[in-house]
Amino acid sequence: MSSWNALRALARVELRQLAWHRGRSLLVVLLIAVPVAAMVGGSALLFVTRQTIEEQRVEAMGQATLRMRPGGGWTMERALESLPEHARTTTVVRGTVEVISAGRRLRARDFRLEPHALEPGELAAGLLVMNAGRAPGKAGEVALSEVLIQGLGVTLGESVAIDGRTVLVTGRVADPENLNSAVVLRPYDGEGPVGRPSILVELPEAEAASIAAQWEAQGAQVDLRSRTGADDPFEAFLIFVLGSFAFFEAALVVAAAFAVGMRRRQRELGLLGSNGAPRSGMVAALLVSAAALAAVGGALGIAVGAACARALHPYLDGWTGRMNGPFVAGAFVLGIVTAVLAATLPACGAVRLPIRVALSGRRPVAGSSRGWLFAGLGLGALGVLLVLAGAFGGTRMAALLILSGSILLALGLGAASPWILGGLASWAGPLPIAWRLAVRDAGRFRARNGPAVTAVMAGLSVSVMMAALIASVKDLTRVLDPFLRDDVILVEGPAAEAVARELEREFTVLAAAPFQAVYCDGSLVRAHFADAIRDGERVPFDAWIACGGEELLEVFGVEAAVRDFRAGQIVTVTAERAGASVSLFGSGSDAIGVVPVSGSVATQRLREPRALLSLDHLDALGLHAGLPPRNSLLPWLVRLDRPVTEAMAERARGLAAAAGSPGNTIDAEALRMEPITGFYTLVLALCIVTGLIVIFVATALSSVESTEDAAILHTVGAAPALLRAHAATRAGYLAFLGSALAIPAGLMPMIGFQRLAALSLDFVMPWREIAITLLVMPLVAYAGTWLVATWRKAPRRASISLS
Amino acid sequence: MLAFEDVTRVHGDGERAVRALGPVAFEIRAGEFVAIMGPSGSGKSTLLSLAGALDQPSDGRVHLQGQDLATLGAAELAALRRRTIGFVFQDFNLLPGLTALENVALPLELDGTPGREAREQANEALARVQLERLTGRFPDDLSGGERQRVAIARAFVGPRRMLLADEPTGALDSVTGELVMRLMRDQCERGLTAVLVTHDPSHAAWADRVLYLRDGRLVDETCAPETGSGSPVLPLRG
Ligand SMILES: Nc1ncnc2c1ncn2[C@@H]1O[C@H](COP(=O)(O)OP(=O)(O)OP(=O)(O)O)[C@@H](O)[C@H]1O
Ligand SMILES: [Mg+2]
Repeated sequence: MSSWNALRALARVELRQLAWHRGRSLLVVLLIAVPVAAMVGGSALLFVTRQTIEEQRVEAMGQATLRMRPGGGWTMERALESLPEHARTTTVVRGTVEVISAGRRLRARDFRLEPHALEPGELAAGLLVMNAGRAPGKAGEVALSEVLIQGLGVTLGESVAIDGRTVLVTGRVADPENLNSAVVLRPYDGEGPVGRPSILVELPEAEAASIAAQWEAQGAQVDLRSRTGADDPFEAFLIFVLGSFAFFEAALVVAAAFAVGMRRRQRELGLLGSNGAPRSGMVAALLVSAAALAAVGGALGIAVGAACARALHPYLDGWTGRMNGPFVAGAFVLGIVTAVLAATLPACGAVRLPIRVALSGRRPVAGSSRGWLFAGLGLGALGVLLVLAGAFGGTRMAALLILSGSILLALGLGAASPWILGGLASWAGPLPIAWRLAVRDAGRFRARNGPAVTAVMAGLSVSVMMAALIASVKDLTRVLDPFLRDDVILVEGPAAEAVARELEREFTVLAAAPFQAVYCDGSLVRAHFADAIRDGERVPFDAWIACGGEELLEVFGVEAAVRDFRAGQIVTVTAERAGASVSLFGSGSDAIGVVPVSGSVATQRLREPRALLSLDHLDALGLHAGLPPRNSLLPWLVRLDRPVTEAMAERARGLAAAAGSPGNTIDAEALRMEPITGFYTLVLALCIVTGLIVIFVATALSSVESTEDAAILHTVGAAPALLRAHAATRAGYLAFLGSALAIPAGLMPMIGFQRLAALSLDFVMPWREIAITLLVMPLVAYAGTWLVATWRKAPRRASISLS
Repeated sequence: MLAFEDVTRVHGDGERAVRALGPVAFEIRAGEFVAIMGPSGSGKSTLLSLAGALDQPSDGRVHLQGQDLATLGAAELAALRRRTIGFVFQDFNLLPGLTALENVALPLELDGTPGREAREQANEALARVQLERLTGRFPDDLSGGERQRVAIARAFVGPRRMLLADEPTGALDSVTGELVMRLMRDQCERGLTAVLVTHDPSHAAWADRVLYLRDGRLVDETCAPETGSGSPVLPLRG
């Protein structure tokens, strides 16, 4: 009780301090908010693009225990007959369909479900959700998704035409995994299904497994709920790891900020001590105030992160507005822990100062820094070892090893910095007065300036890391094949055809064609090019096959192969020589056929699709057409007479938006680099801004350190210019040292993580960014401090009568 | 109340050792008002910080209320500073973030006194220095003399019985300085013990006794005429 009262009294002093020194408080808040926002935003983006296991299961089979799609002679009827009495079943037919209203035609995904199958407790519940009106209950009724309702300009209760029949719109439906998707929901009435049928079955787990095995043996495609869905913890883990690194960097800077505060308040803490405040109480109160700031920062970070994720929403397919609870909470807690840990060392140091010394306001001079040097060297060497072990050891713990190694290296460099400062100070003799003072002083009070250097290093090492990453990614995208030809625009969405026609009016179009993918018994067909050769080397690869009319050849620039195409051969769009024939595979492991391959090779390499087949020959091969792998209805490719520039792509975007239906998208190779480099450049810019903030924290620290020197210089009649130069030089000097240390500290983790990345990135040295870090940052620090010093008021007296 | 037994304070060691004080021996009784004078660097501040348990002697013992300070741990010393000793320095006595009232209540609250009770006692202490009207002001909004009076109020708030003041009037004009002296005198009449370091003989005249320090040693002791034994200068040990 009594210590609670004491803590409250001390905490009040601390919290008043926060309000008093708003600038410093705001800085700490921001330093915590940035990594929290990054983590929250990053995880939000990650988790909307990645489904949870349960979401994957619901999307595939609603609430059922298994899903069967007929194949290999195993039909729906036979499956239903072979089921035990107590099994519950429902039929789902998926396909694509065209919806027409008042002359507008939109393509949509078609779901035919038994009436009531979406209701709670039913098997298809969750597959789709009804947002308004009611689900269609009988033939002649339909529910449409928002995109279609807007695009067609209909309201509930009006009619549209589907498959040549007029049907009544009874409700608004949505795909919970992709709210922007064009979806038609119709009742399944047992008539011969058009599209890909499947049966959802509910059975006890054990029975379901044996039935699944039995059906699979008959050639059907069976998905068991328990086998469906895969969690990929790696990316979440990576975000966590990078986030932790960011928090670590933030911790160093926050520690420096607190050190500034403690230094400023040295006498105040002494005064508290002289009034009998216990040390533990003072430390606790300081930590409480740190935690309070971090809580504000965390809340701000969550808000900003969520807002950023939401702002990016239009650029993401299928954002559902969900946030990842554990990640948000984790980031918040990490933020608080970071701030508290960061405040601990300065708080303990400040409180441990003898009260008399604290009251005198004098700076304690550092002792020997050789111990720190050895500790730093040891930590740094251990850190490098861990990073190398993580990068080359290939263990599952690699990311953790690299993370901890990088942190140790940064700590090691930080710990060695007082020694470096001390060492450099002994060479300062021949320097001009401002420099000599700065270098000597930084060396004399190295125990206090070391943290400043460390903070600058931490802040800038992230920039260096990001710069190296961007340089490497840019290099990678230069090497990789593009997704699209540079003169092609890809149009997706419910009104893809209409948009393609608009493009034909706007640009000089050589060819425009829709394409589908080749399926067999409802599963995507993969062509296995076993004999492909590139640059004299065998490079076997798998590819899905795009199918369409002859215009497709022109769209892909392989018009020369038109005779082979007509003859039913597969035309490749690759740089590889593909061999004479190719085996096709469906869902099973046995080849479903062998097709001859045309010898023609495209002028531009593409990553996919890499094989084309004529629609006219599908029937003969026992194949059928279906949605391309990206599930994008009927996409259109439009080939122009010249490469698509960003400006042209933007114009195409405008046309797509004006095409009368939402949900239409434009893609072009020129746009593909944009978000990647845009995103990284944004992050880099953020890092640099953070680095600058850090530098100014260090600057603040150094200006506190030099207050007394400045007072003395002032009294001996130094010119104002020298006073300014004195403070500015110290800031520039500390910034330069920090920047120099940031280079190894930033490159090391990048080298490690690059070896882990799924795409084998080559390490590219970001020379330009390194030069900027080394030269520009110290100059900015110098100039900034010089400016601040210009409007600072005369230094206050800095001693009390006790001394 | 306070007794120094052959106390020495040496800074540093070996060749660079500086004897800041001692050996000195003296005793101050409860309710006494003692002034300490001496040239700059003679060890006055050192003596005061030893008396207030801010510093430990290199040699000898300091007794406060019969307790040997050397036997007390850090927590007990902190408690002593909360409950018994109040410091007043030349400047920088008040936390700028707390109001006058909160500054005075601080040692009580640190000691676990519930907030309201602490504020009541602080109010009372402020009333004794005639500052009851300014309780809500922040230090920056007070004059130098008012700030010192707040510091004095804090030095005797609640159970605190010993006031250690290091040149409390150094930054004040002579009229305000007199006022502060009068306040200290008044508090001593009520049973407070006060030790005042000062350069100003007219301030020292308010004290019951004056100790003179030179080069770390007590060289002289004067008693105020009205309370003294008649012989103004006593030879001293050490
Ligand atoms: N931390 C220290 N290290 C070394 N010497 C010290 C230290 N503190 C005080 N001294 C020395 O001890 C002696 C007494 O110092 P003290 O501060 O007690 O003097 P003072 O009587 O208060 O002087 P003034 O009237 O100027 O305030 C001085 O000579 C001083 O140089
Ligand atoms: Mg003194």
